[in-house]
Amino acid sequence: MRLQFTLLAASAVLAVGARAQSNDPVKLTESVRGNPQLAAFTVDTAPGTVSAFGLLGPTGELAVVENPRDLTVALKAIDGSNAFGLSITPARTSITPMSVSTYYDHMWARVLAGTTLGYAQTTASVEGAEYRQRAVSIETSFFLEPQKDDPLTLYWNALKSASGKDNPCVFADAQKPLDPPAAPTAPAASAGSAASDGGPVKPALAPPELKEELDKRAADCRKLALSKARWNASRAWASWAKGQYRPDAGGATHSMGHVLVLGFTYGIGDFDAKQAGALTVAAKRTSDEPTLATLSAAEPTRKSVTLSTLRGSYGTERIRGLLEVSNLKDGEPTASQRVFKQALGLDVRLTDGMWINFRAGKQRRIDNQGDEWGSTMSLSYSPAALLKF
Amino acid sequence: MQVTSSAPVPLELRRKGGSIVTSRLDVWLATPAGWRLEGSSVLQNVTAPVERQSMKLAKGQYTAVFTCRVEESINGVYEFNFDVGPTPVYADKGNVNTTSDPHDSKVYRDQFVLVVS
Repeated sequence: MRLQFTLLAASAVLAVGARAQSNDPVKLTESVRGNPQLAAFTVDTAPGTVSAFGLLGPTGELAVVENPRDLTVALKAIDGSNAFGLSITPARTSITPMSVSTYYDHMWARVLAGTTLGYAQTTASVEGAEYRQRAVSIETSFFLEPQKDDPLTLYWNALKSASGKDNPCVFADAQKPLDPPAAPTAPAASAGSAASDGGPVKPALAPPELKEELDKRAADCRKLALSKARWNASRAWASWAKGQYRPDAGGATHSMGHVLVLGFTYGIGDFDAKQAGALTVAAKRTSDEPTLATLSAAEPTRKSVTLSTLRGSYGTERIRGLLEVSNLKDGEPTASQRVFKQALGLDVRLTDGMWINFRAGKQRRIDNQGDEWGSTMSLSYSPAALLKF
Repeated sequence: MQVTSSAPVPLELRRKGGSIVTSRLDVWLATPAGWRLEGSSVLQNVTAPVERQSMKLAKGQYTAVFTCRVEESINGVYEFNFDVGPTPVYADKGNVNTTSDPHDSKVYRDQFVLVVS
């Protein structure tokens, strides 16, 4: 599941609009003044994670490759014009697997385990012209305080420290032998292949009912462990992506520029604090991005922009408020800059993983004729989407 | 399978890979009234590449039940070796990640005769 192969439907590469993601919020209401052309109005999450897919803006089916053989099959499907995407987190595949102990013991390993390489190619129609585009990316994110925030670490620690009869994290209850006590010295033969030289044998698989019981127990343990994860996790992230395009009819290849994102969140308060907060600082540098109007020109006009954002969040597990400011300056907006300059927000949890999000703020009009105020209310299925950039 | 060990009986579980491996060994004595549990060792220090414990058992012959669970975590790759004293008893390796479930698992349950001398 860690190695993802995406069949991409062609979509506009530089069109203003949010990426299609499964966790994207569903907009319920929208109120704006000024220019009503606000396809990206809900984007108040500031600089986003940058991936090759993000740069190209593709959508499509998501298939899964879990081993080298599947990857080989997937790569055979590529030709120069396919809409295609590939994302691989090497440490999380069987190609270059990372061990549990390495991840647990070393910060560098956790950075590496969260590092994803991406490639995407697609075709897009911009103002009537067809373009072929491709992009590569590398991104990583990791928890600064894994003992408090990292779901893997929390789960492993719960297992390591488990004790007590009713604790689901205790591996299993005592298992009785299969033989009747009358013949205790003649145990059932191992279903595995016993080594003739006295070496170890492969133990027999457990009956399905025992596997089911232990799987449920583990699921209960994970739930218990993750209940102690902070919503305001301290984490850092970085990503870089670069792309290029050329007219489908032929012609020179041009750079789509490159994007660098750096950021971190510092969580204040432990998981059991009645109220807690988070401070997030992020910066996104977009370099040499061609403007839409000059995309077909021999020498497209290019822009470089740095967007920095500061966000403070405060609240509880059920309700959180946030205040966000950015350094967005006047100038012709691009897709990547379509964010609030100042924003207030409120997130209210309806059920586990389902949130109502309200945002109000000021952003630059898309026609660059001053600022405008607006608000949105949306339904989100993932709290994480609100906490990361 | 029969394994002979001196008391206390040393146990060692070695782990490799990005899956978590938890196991336990339950040692039973046959009595006229049925099985009697003489000792258990739970090995679930899942981040330790090598986990050692020992069991205090009187001299005699027992039936030991080995239970082990492998769960996909960082990835599905795993390898474990379980030794009783100097005797390698059980081992397996592979990739437990066989479905889209992020927590694919495999559970083993086997038993052997343990003679404590």
